[in-house]
Parts: sequence; C-alpha cells; structure tokens
Amino acid sequence: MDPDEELVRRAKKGDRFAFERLVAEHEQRMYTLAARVLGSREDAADAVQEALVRAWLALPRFRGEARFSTWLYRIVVNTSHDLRPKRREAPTDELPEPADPRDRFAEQELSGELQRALNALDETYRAAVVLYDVLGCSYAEIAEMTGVAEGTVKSRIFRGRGELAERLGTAVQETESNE
Amino acid sequence: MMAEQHPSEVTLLSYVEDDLTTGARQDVAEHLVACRECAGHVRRLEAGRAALRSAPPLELSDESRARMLASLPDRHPRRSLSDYVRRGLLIAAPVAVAAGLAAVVFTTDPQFGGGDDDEGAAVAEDAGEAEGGGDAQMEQSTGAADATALGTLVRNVAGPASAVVNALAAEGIDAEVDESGSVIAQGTAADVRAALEDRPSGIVAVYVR
Repeated sequence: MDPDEELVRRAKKGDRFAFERLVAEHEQRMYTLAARVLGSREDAADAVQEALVRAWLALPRFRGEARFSTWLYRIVVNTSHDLRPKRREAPTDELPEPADPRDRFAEQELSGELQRALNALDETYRAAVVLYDVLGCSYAEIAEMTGVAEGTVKSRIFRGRGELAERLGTAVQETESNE
Repeated sequence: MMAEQHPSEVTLLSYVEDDLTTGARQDVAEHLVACRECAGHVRRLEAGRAALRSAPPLELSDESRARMLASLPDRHPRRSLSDYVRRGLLIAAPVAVAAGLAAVVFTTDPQFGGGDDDEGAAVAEDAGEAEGGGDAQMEQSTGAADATALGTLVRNVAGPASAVVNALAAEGIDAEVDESGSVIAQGTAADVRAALEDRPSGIVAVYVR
C-alpha cells in the first residue's frame, strides 16, 4: 500500500542505509516544499535538515496509519513554520534572492516572479497551494499535514491560487479590463 | 441568467479540478456564462494553478545532502539529549535518567531486528529488564514504555491534532501539540484512551506523561 513500507520498517529498526534511501526518495519534494514556503534556499536547507533529524528520531513511533510521505512532509511543514519567525527577526537572512553568482546552484534560483507572489501570500495559503499544486498532494493528505479540515484546505487553495493569479497579473486583465 | 446563488468556493475549485458530477458541472457552467464574478474566479484558479505547476522542482546540493545525513544523531538519548532538553521535552531529572537509559540502550543496540514493528517500546522494555527495575525514576516519569522523551504512546488517532487536543480538553485532560504534530497529554493512559474511544485511528500519535 505505502510504497515506502519496507524501507520504513528497516529504518525504524535503526537501519541508516534504509533511511538514506527514503531520504533520497523524498528529499527533492521536501526541499521544494520548504523552499517555496520559506522563499529561501538557505532556510529551506535548514528546515529540511531539522525535519530529517526529527523524522529519524521519531521514526520508531511512526505506526503507518498514514503514508510515510504524508508524515514526513508534515514534519517539513512544521519545521518550515518554526523557522519563519526566527528568520524574520534576523534581517541578514531576509530576501535571499537574487542568487549569489558564486553559488553553483544559482541557475536553480527560485524563479523570481512566482516566488515573490508566493512570498506575499498568507503562510497558510502558501503551504496549501504548494502542497497541492507543486507537490501534488491530495486534499486529505494536506488536511492531515496542516491539521485542518479538508474544507479549509480547499478554501485555502481557492484563495491562494486566486491571490497568486492576481499578483502575477495573468487572469485579471481577461476578466476586468473591459469594465 | 441570474447571478445570485453563486456556487461556493469549494464548488468552483471542484469545477476547475474536474471533480464534479456531470450534472453539477453543467449547473456551474451555466452559471459561469451569466456571472462575470464567478467566471473571474475560475480564470484566476486556472491561472494560479498553471503558474504553480510550471514551478520546477528544486534540488538540494550533494554537499547539503551529505551534510544532513552525516548530522543525524544516533538514535539513543545520549547524543540527542541536548536536543530534547533544548526543546523542553524531558521533564523530571532528565540528565540522570537519560544517561542511565542511554547506557542501557547502547548495550541493547546490537539486538535490534527482532521483527517487532515498535522498536522504541521494545528497546525500552529491554532496557527495563536489563536494568532490573533499577531506574525507578524513569518509570515514574514516563511509564517506561517509549521512554525517550515524549512519554508513553497511547494511540494513533485521526487528526487534526488540534481537534484531538480539544477532544481531550472536553474530558478535562490537558494536552498540547509538539513540534512533530504529536499530542502530549497530561493524565493516565486509561483516561486518555477512554476520552478518545470514539475517534478513528489516524496519523496523530497521542502520548501521556
């Protein structure tokens, strides 16, 4: 049922190799989630690192009622959330873009316009649209990860997408230009 | 052609996501022809979706990944003790208790692999036996089941965690949500189990301490 079940079973027993394979399977999505929510590669790396430590330590208590990925991404949502207030008080880490040209991953810098629009969204809307549209999670999974009802998740996606489109200026002209 | 009785946000989202039955879809489509406001919502929902789905996946650098994996603590309390203390998860006499537990868990490490799906509890039980009940303090504070930090696991119930906390509060049991989304309740396992009797199983781990 859960494609990660076998590796999870081994990792629970303390098998680091199995855990590393689980990480390899999910790290891209964990990092994409954190980076889009936090708007910063550096903060995202910190959030993922913290999430991995928490996941590794908490894994013996994971019972498999939800998919492992749902459980893991929920921890990323939480670590990303925890990181935000701290970073707000530390102006040196604000507005991480544009990329340092010496960064070998500069070509992967968070795409400017979309990320700026995302950053301007309410944090709960941002998490919802990133989980749904970027990661492809289901309403039910997002409800579990963010601790709200499915109806709330849908409402957040509705508002998050709508605000995003307005900020990107894409849909608005079509509908309101010929007033 | 009337624009009142707008479809709900959820219905409009379902329309865009193609989650409606044929009849419901037809009703919404007819409304959209007549209602510029809702048509605008639909266009924005589609545009927002398109922008988000065009976002490329992001990759950790190999260096970051290696650093993260190398930084994972050993999964016994000696190494992670400072983490727990920093997060305020250990309550009474943490240093003495955890140091004792760490030594015991360390010696039982090679026995991992008993086919049990609840390693945490198994290790703690092993620890209790090996110690011959010599660590009364630990038993007192955590019940000795999954004694690392959170307390004793009672059940995994359906979320959201905040609703679990509310359900416990309704029965007079104080509880809080920790950083991994688990619920930590103050009370006995029996009381907590009774308070959550009607709740289906799910992702939220409920601990007592």
